[in-house]
Amino acid sequence: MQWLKDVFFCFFNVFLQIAIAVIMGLIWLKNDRFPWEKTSQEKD
Amino acid sequence: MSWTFWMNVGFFIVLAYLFYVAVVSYLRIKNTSGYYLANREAPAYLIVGSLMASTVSGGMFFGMVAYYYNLGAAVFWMNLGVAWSWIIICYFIGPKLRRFGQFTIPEYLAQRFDSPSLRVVFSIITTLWMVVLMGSVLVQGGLLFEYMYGVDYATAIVVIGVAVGLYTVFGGMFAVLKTDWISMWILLAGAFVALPYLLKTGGGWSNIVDTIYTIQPAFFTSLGGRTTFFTAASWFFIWCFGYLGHPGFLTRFYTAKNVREVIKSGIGVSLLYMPLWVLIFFISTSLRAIYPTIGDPELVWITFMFEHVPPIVVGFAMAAVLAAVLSSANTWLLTAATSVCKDIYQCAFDKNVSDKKLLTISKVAVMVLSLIAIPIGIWRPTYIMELMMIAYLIAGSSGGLVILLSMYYKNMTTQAAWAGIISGALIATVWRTLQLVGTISSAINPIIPTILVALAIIIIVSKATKPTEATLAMFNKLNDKSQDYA
Repeated sequence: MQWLKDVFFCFFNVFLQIAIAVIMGLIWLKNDRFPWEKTSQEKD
Repeated sequence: MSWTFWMNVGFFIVLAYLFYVAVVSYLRIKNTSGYYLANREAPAYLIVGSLMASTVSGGMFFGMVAYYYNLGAAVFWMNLGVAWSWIIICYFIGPKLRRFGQFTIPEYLAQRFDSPSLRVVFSIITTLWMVVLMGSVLVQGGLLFEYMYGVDYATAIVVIGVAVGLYTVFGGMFAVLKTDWISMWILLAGAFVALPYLLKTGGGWSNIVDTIYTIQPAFFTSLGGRTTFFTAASWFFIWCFGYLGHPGFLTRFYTAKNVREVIKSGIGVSLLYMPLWVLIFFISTSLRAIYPTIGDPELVWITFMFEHVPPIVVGFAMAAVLAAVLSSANTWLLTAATSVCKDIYQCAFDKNVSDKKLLTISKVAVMVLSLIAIPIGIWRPTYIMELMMIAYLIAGSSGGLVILLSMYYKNMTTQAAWAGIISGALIATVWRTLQLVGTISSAINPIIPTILVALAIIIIVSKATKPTEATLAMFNKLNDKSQDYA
């Protein structure tokens, strides 16, 4: 399984990108915004 | 029945369906909004399909397979550059573009920086590199037809160029979105279908791995044994910033039903994009073991298909390649033609042009641009991936950085935007041209230095000048969340 050890860093980056994308998307969908974005009321 | 007959059966079934969708789409188009933006009613799944099918052109089966074949796992850095650009595009740029809600990216930049001439200049730069990109797509189609039917390469390029032009003329954005969604599944299936045959021919995965370690021991490592860290980093930034500056992808968000659909499309495209490239990596690795030396690596996948796979499956897979070629080409063509008509013709020559006339001019522009790309396809000055990287280098240097900063740097001024676009385009183009003619060494890719210099110029010029009321108002409009469901 040497090949899996060799390619681990690339595959890790692949999983990391997917995980970050999915988690960020779900957070937005739950609150209709990202946590750092202001709502319309907060802006007013 | 002959081998060729069954191949044609598989090929034409898929092709007929794609053209059926284009004709149905044509019948739905009533005005320019329908032609350019599919009436702004696209749900997330259509945007995901379009982003995927447009990004995964025939280059996947030719250029990228050849890159993985030669350079091993190092090529993941290109795909990761695109993957991270999806996060930035779908979560940080797309929602703001949807709130802006117009037609083109030059139009956005002109309004954001209150500078009508910026629209024309940015449109010209974009159209130029997009024609280069179109040339690379035609090369893919040309190679396909040349290999399938033994026709002369130049003839094949002309046929594919005209076919793509006609296809886009008829369908517009409805066809782009609908056929891209279908194409995405066809090309995913086309990639998957080869894998069992590859594993069988290669004698199983462990046999393939043993062969790879014999011919290229560092193939699986993150730099593949043939790439430097700087080159891998350059690939990452070329593709990441290239996509950020690519109106073909960014204008997809104008078509979205609302911002929620934009965010959903970010999740969808991220779930599909990198797994597909992992699959392509396995395919390319198997091909490397099966054909340790081959004259033209861009033809390694198609060679395998014709030698080892049943004809009807080959026909289906070739249709997948053609679907990928069509779906990329129609996106580039439609984006460039929209920009030529709205940003150059309407803006500079005829402000009061009627909707009907503009629609006609758009269709003529689509045909003209596809014809202009034909000589580049026939010329085939370099490998497909090289052509694509030149286009994305200019896109990223001239547009990617400026578009991203325009949405998050409130005090970025009109002068800074001009300076960023011009300096980025100039440095990248001149540097790469001097490398291509051999005047300077090709060791250092221009993307990272260009981005750093353009960033410094934008900050310095912004500090030295003041933003106007109009530019600040536009910046605030982009952040107005009440427009999310408008």
